[in-house]
Amino acid sequence: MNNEDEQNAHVELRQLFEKAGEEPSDLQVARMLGKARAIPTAALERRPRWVWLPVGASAVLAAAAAGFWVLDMRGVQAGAEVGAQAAGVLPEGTEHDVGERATPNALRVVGAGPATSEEAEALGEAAQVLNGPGFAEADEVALGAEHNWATTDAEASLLLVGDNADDAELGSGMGAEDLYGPLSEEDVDWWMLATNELLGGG
Amino acid sequence: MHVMTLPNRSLAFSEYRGNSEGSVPLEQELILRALQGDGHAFASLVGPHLPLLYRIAQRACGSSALAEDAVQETLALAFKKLGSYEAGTSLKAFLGAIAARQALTLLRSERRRRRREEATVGPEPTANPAEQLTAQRLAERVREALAQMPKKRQQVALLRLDANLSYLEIAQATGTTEGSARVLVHLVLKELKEKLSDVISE
Repeated sequence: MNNEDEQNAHVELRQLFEKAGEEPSDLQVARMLGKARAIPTAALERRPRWVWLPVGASAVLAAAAAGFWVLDMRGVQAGAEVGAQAAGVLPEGTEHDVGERATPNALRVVGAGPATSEEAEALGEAAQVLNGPGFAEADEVALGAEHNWATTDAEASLLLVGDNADDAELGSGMGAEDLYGPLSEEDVDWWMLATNELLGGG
Repeated sequence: MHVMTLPNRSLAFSEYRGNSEGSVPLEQELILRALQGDGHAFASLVGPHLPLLYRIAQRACGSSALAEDAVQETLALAFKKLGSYEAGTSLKAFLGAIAARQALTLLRSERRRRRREEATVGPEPTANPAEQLTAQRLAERVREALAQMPKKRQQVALLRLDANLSYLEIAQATGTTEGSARVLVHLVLKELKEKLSDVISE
């Protein structure tokens, strides 16, 4: 298509486009003008979204800080309540006593077994101390102080070893032999001695 | 420096239609005022080009109501981009480019809508082609021919045949050189002439 052809094509197509197109009426132009006049004000009134970003971010941070503060305060209150409860339940001096007496020996019972006759004796005391229905976890030793301090039920205290074998905290460091008794002959002697003492056989 | 003061009123309707090429300082002043939210200044700027914008939109969507909405959207977009427009270059090309891009979207959605309608209702029975070539049918043929072309060519066709832009203005609107615009126009005219040869010959 040379220059002249292109000119002709342009003229022909323009005529076609005019025939097939539509000019706006005066009314339509006036309407569009009216709408055009409103565009700048509308566009300037509408703030872009990023303008609100710092405000939104500050609000989120403030809400998060408030949330943390509330959780923190609840934790402090709960701790205080538990402390008050514990203090109210236990007689004065008991908590320390129980902790001192029960914990090391109780762990020994579950763990490797008594090492000396003195310890075996102490084991008897510890077994008495731990003979409480509340003694499901080591943390509850202190709360268990109110139960059955005077009872000397050796069987129950021995059962305690089996009951607590499932406990993950107390069971940590346990081997299979801890569950089924001593394996070496020396340990068997030990075990017999301790068991006799516990059962009152002397 | 002499600063031109403008009357605080919108121009009369006859002024919009007659004066499409404003002087550079006047255009600059109008742009500044429009950017500050002056609706009348914005209307004075775009008023002379409304028929052109309407023609392009109507060519794409084929409905006068939709075309008015499309012009409104084009103007809103033009206001957003007004800051990037350099006074002194062609405002007609600036607006035409935005309108043509908008028209491509309209053309696509129009084509989709027609396909859906044809799928549900079925194609219209073809009677005597000469009788059917009313302005509306003609418009549809032109739209179909445009829709089959690549995007860039559609844009150039609208800018050349509806907006009647020069090669330089088309180059500005499409972001190419004047030489490339010339080649593109040539290809577009050739392709359109082939596609619409039956309609042109009548």
